[in-house]
Amino acid sequence: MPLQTERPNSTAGQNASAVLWDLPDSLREFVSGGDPEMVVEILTLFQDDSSVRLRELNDALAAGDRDAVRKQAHTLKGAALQIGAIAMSGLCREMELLATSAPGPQLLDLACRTWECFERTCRYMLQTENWG
Amino acid sequence: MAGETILVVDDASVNLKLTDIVLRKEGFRVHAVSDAEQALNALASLRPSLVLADIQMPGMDGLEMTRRIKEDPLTRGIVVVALTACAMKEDEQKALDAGCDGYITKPIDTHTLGTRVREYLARGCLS
Repeated sequence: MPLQTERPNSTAGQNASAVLWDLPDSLREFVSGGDPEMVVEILTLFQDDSSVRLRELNDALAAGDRDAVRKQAHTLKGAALQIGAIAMSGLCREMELLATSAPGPQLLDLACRTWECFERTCRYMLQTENWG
Repeated sequence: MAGETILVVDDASVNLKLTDIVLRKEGFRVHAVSDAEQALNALASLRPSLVLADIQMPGMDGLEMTRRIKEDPLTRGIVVVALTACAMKEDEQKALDAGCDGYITKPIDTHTLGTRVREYLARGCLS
């Protein structure tokens, strides 16, 4: 995998300049150590788990369950940060902080931007999946 | 110290998998579960030297799980280390107040995780 970074061009707000994805050194070393499959497994887990959690977050938002929104945002933030999805992690952190106080439409907008950012991150991972 | 059993509890599958991989590479035996109830059930038959637990989990959180571990005479000797998010400084004090022997901040640093776990195990042996 080329292990590059990309800056999102459609993410609005304060995270607009954040790096979309940059594989952390701690994972990059699995690649250089001859174990790229392990990184693929972790990235696949991230994609599968995050898509489920984002749906659950939207359900919680629709139900007005702010605490569930905060918890899902917290977990998504941690997973995104762990695999180097920096822009997504920033959006999730914003959502976690605002979950119990922001107006509904603001949270909904943030959730939509997080979805978009997640999808862009996954597409970028697929585009760059070239483990040689 | 390598070869000791570590029970890892985290509802985030990415963190759970990565922790499992890193600790196995460090020579530990790892038992990984995704919630506190599973962890407490596992303690009925498993005697880990250390429990590495996420704090914010659905259902029973890591703090309540730690209190239960430390209240039980059969399990109170197990070293419990909390996994806390960097930005949540208040979580660190809450973890210590609940009975955790220490905490490790997330994201998990794969370079230092094994060393930190060995340090906590060594401290546990001394106490």
